[in-house]
Amino acid sequence: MIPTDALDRLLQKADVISNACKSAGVEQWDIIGMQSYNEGVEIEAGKISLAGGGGDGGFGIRVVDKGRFGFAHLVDVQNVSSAIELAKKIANISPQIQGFDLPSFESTKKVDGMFDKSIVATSSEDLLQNADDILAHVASKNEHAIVTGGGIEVSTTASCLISSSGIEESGESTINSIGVQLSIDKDTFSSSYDHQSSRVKLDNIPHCVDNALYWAEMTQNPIKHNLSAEEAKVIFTPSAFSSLFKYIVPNSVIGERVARNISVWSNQMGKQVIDPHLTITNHGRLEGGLASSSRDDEGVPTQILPLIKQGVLMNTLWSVRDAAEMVQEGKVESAQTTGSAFRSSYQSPPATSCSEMILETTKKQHSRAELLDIINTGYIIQDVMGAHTANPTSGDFSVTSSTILRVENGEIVGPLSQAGISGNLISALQSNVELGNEISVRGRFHLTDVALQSHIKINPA
Amino acid sequence: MVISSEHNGRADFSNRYLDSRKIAKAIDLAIDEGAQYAEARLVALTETDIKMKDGQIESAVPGQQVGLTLRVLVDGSWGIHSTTDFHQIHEQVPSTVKLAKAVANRRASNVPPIDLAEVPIYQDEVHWQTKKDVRTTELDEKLGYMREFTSSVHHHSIQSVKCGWMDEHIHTELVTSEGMDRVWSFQRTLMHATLEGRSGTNVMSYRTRVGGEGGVEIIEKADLDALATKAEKSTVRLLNASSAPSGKMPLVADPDLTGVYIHEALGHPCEADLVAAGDSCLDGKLGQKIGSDIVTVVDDPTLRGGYGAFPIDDEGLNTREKLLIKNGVLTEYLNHRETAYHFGIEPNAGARAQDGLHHPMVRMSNTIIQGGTHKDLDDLLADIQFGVYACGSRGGQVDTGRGSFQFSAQESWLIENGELTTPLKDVSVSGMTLEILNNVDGLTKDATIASPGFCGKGQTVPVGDGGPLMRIKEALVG
Repeated sequence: MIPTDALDRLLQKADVISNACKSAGVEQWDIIGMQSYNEGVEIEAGKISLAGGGGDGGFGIRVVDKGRFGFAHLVDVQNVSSAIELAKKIANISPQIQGFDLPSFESTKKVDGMFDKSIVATSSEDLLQNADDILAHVASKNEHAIVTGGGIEVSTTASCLISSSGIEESGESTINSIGVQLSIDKDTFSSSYDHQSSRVKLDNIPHCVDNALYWAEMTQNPIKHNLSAEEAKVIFTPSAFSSLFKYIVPNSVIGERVARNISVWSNQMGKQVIDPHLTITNHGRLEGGLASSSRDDEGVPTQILPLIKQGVLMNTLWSVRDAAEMVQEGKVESAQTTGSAFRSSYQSPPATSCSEMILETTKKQHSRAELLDIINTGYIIQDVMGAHTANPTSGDFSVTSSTILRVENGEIVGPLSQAGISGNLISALQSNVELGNEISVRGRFHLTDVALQSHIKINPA
Repeated sequence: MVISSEHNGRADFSNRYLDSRKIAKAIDLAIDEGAQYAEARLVALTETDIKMKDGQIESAVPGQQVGLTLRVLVDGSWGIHSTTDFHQIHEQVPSTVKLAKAVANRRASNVPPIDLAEVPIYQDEVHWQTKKDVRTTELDEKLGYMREFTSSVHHHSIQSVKCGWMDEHIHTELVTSEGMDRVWSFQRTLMHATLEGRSGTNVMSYRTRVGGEGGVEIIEKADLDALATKAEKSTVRLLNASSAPSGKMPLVADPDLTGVYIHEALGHPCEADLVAAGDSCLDGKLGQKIGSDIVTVVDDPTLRGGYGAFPIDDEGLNTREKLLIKNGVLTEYLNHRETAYHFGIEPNAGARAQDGLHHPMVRMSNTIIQGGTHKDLDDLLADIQFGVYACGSRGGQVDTGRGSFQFSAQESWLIENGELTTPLKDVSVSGMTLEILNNVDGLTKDATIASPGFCGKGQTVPVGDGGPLMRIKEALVG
């Protein structure tokens, strides 16, 4: 899939750009280079609908001159001079931030588990066979189930970061992703979606396939009820919880947002902000993590940072520029990078973001059956629609689910056809939270079943 | 197959990225290798992305992306290769054809092969002109509009004003084995802002957007001061707003939210690829009554100025209005050539790809519910005893198979005895497509394209949605 000399070619081109920066008299610069290769198959209506592959790549140049920065990106290094001039021009009109200098080199260890040779060795035939195996597996488990959408993808990315301050980092990483949307059209129509991504090769039939099937089966034949809208105890599966968590919690621990007074946790440093048994860690160095790396996208070594320890806000996330800017504006007395600068692609300058985020408890963790006993009466929710409409500033949300089960006396009674779910996630995390005992990795979030017993309202259709 | 040739705009094929001779050889090679159809589609995006915080530039990223997707249909199956290294695309032809053959070899005997509906063939160029080209407008002018917006916000509760600018010139070249050879271009411009306010421990955000198909003139003619003032008032109001009531009740939606409603509840289930996949609640419903008599919905990429407008779809078809529902009757699916063939219907130019690195899918453009007979908001509110008036969109989502959907408002008011009373925050509305379309019982006269938006379906594309003020007699409000 990836040419054997892909990384060498990327580094050679990056060298051309760095030489051009030096020739142009740029004071400070960093260059990010990425070249990705991918192959995939798509499934539609119970069959493989297409197979494809390709590549995408380029370079981003950030120039810094006396605390002002400019950025430009390019694909063809023949255009390097104009890209550098463009970046310099933008730097000239950007605000000056005292103390904003690109980071110096600091040694750090590599993070393991980012590359899997077996992903690189995966052929198109392998992917097609994998897709057929998934289709056959679903058909063998339930003759009425059909995979209506989804697919399998493998990708390899060669990347490099070099800077005027001596940072030179490069490497290759891999990802294997599988997603399935399946439906059952038997007595009633039901459907469910689940997916998994990993730095290492996934099982041929990964857990997400059976999980999607389980929820499509469980939500057949909605119960008749006369339930009304009320505050309720709810178990969110990792899928449902991560949907809301990712839009609200990472946003609340960005240092710049906390400093600007636009986080729900502004002015809360050192104070208890969630249930005292809960800990949230930003783990930049987790082996095989999708958002792990030895250095962040400014070249700063990543770290393991407790953000909330036993309910108390301990740290927030910073990049180099954010830290300098907030000190200059007097929003904070001091701040320094936590190695939390990320770029969505080579086309973007760095911005502060979380790495792998892990929610843990010091209390006993429970099986799902035990959680059902704990809430006794309420709901269990697998997926929500509209999580992206949650208010990331306040933590308020109002979403909908069609994969929601009613629980009475610790037992699942049956599915609702649809229900509205509203509340405030930050408030709901402040007390009576119970965690499950099986960790599920949802993108960069490591979460279990989460039972929330207050501040959640269910509005059954 | 009808062959025609038209020229619109520049007649010459200058400024092309693709080498005509090379690309023709690549297409011929695909056919020689066994493809029944082959196409090369290149998209060059010249764009500017600016972020400003409290009047200071955070980042300004001008750039260009060029991507090419080779798509081959072999023995009724697709093979695709996408790359930024488009000069070498001919090297990828044999492996892409082989890939498609491998898919075809695995097709079960009861699965029909893919084929494409016949379409007119064009060799031409179509360029939608703008008054103020995004490529030649100075960065300072764009920054000036952003500063104008920011400087109009004064309230002490507003902690932060983030303003963003996105413009792009979209240049597409399509060459196919059927002889299609088209070049088209157009532009989009968008300015957006998020205000974040704080009162005690209460924090709220509010976002606003202005933009559409066209150049910088779209922002030039917008009343940015009014836009900022409205956003400021809304943010401050939200800081003191109450939580929404829960339950089934009448709902009145502004054009922004009406647009999102019709996009999610009806537009997506109308996409023929989802219908063909068995993942739409509208499967088998063509010609059937699915909504109240007053509901007429169109999807129209030819509506210049709408954020979802484009002259030619990504399979090279001239765009046209699609009448999805007429007086409550489902009349047309959105389709592309593959689904048109599948259903035995006319192609209606609904194929869109995110960029040159993605393949075309069935997508919406500007989706609008037509106006009705009610005079104004007061006319819609008059006979509501208890309900909600919801404005502005935070977005929505749909489960097309189940036919369930959700959308969220930015700000709302309680309706009591025909009057707007308490401001509300975080109102969401959910429902089932086949129920709620029948519950639309009031529409004001004038339908408008509302704020620009983005639609995700594996790929993200700009869309314009809208309509008049709309009343739903019973909706699940949360």
